[in-house]
Amino acid sequence: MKDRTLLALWLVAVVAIGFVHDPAWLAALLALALGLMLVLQGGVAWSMAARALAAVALVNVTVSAAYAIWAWTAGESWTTFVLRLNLRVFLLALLALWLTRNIDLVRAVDRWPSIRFLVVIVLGQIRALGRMLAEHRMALVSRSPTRPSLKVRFASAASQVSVALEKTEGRAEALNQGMRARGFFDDRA
Amino acid sequence: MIELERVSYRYPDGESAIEEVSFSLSPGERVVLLGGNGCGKSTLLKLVDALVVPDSGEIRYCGEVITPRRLRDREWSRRFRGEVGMVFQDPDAMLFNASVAEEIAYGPARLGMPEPLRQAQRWACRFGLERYLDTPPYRLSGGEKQRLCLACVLACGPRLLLLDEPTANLDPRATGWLIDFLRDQPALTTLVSTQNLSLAGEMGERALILDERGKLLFDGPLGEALGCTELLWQANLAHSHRHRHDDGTEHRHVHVHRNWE
Repeated sequence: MKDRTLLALWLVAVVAIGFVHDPAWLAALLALALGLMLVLQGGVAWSMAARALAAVALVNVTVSAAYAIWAWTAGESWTTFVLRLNLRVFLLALLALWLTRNIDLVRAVDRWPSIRFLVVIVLGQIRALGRMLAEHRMALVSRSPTRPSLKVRFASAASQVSVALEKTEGRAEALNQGMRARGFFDDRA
Repeated sequence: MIELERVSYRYPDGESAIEEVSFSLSPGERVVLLGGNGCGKSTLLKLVDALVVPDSGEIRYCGEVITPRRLRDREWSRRFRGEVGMVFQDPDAMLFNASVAEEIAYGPARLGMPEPLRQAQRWACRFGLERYLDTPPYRLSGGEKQRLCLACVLACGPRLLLLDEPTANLDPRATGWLIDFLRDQPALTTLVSTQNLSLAGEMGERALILDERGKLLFDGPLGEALGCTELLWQANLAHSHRHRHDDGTEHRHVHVHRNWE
């Protein structure tokens, strides 16, 4: 019950945040969310905020810089848009992270078997890929007598992505075949 | 060479992986790490390679305790990573360069060895990979990737070699080749993890056996370990199933397949 309520609250919050366009209001909501997390979870809230920031930083900086350059060449103002984008994306990422840490997603959707199947499959894939990427990182450390250069780290990251894509595809195909073999898709025939 | 003293490690989710494990490896020793699925063999190898930090206990390399601080010391870390090499169970985890030659040359180049590409050629020839020097590693077969990983690590001239289930991706011929290769390296200390008892006897003289909770059940001569069915049963390394005979009678007993023929 608790998981389902929190999931519903999160969904409402996500939709509501989509309707807030004023950066000042978004900043206030962000402060409120961080304040609540600090009260409920203590110091962990800061590490969650840092993780959320790290997760969105690259995309946000790229999009913000691109928009700022375009606005500057077009002679338009860019500050409101960039502030709105960054605050909204950061707030959504923070809430998503908080949600995944605090609820059992499978239990939250157990009333809807089809969604539950999907969630279980996705969580299984995430776990397997997470393990694989951790293994790649360790292998790079193990093979590097000196700190790997940026170029080497990029090459390793590119290889990780390519292996991850290949394995995800292979796993998805195997999963599909496994489900087919167990008659999963025959229910609606 | 390396000593573990009451080392324990928990996974990030709090589950215990390794519990109070103590052992040491002397130069030139060939040790086989045995245990069933999920008993912590890979984690133990990663602890020895200082890729994960123990929650309690100490790991010493050549008498010096391995700590995160010591690993941040560039000179020490460089020496350690050069002298201790690990081949992961999944070869894809280790390969990221654009060609086989660059892949093998990566370690020697970082160690400042002379002519790393020439060395790479030499190692590729030794491992039957000379045809693939310009090929991207991802195009190789599973067995070729495994050989490439081994070449990459050995090209750095390690003193201690950690192999995580090295025969998992190899066909019988490549497995035979690996066994011969390891036998021909008397100066190399090896710690090989496997759950394949029929190959264990070919890969070392001493056995470390982990139980399913990650505790060290046995540390001693491999022959003695392989001869003790009860011990192997405890470590999930023996199996039991029903046998039906021609006269219609059935019985169940524990099996261990020790010989590779």
